[in-house]
Amino acid sequence: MESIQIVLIIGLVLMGLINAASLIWAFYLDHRLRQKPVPKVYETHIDSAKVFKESDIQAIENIARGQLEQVMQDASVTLQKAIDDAVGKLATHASELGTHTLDKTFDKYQADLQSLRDQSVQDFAKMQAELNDRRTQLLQQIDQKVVEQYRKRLDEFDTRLADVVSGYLVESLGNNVDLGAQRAYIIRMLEQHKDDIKKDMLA
Amino acid sequence: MSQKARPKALPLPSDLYSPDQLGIIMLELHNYTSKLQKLALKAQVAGDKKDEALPATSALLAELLQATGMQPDDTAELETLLNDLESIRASAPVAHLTLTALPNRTIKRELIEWFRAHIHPHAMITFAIRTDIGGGMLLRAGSRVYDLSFREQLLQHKAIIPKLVRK
Repeated sequence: MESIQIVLIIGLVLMGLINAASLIWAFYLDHRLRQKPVPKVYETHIDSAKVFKESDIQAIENIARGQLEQVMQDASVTLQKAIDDAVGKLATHASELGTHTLDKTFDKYQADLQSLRDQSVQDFAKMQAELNDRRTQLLQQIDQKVVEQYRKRLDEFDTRLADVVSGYLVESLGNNVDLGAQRAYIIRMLEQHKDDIKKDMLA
Repeated sequence: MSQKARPKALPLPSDLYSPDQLGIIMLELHNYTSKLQKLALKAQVAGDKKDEALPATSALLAELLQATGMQPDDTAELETLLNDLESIRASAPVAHLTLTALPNRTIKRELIEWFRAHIHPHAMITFAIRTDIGGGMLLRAGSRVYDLSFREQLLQHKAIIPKLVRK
């Protein structure tokens, strides 16, 4: 956008300069025409006889004036044509320059936009992946915590249950004892520890 | 006086299982021997050839005499037996068993026979009662105590209880 503006400004400045130059040129030509040496009129007082007649002088002046106007008109046409050509060329060049610059800028803009879009997509994808990972980690941690809590509670419950049941069993087994039923167990225990018992008793 | 071939280890009856019993039997044997000697002396002084009735003995002493093969009227053998018993009482290993109830005679015999078969021929045992052990026994052998009670077994395998309860 800035390039286009610069080009347009330059074009306007150039057109202004050309117009100014045309005006200056026109004033210059006009000035030159006005400064053309006017045939000196030698006032001769020939009282008796005049060189040119008044009508001839008038005719000559008309012819000179017509020639001057023709020259000015030709110069003006030529200048107008030159200005038109210059303006046309300038407009064409400006248009080409603008189009080229616009296309280039637009392509660059599109490329930048695409790059930005790709970058954004990558960033979002990366962010999404990180979020998914984090979410997975959190879910795993939560699951782990839940399992740990469950096991801890279960262990506590098992410990209490074991205490209650073992206490009840020990208390119950102490009543209405049948040593005959324990005889096999006692003998088996003695057999298992026979060597140690012998060593301790004979020590 | 008859000289029999004596076994290396004096056999003790199964009903004689504790040091206290051994002390009582030794005292009884001593009295019995004294009475026997007095009877023999009296018969010798009186010149009475008539057989005097032997003094009464407890069933345990009678069993001991039978188990050892001693003649109940042979004072010399009885004195030898008394010396042997004295020696046994001084050196016999003793195991102290704590059970949840006082065992009957059969279980006592079985236990003492096991100790005499596997530990020592003259092993002695004492019995005590504790109901809080649940079952099984506490065995003190020398300075060491073996906790073979049900309570100890339950405490050692307490972790299995919840699984068993859930089943």
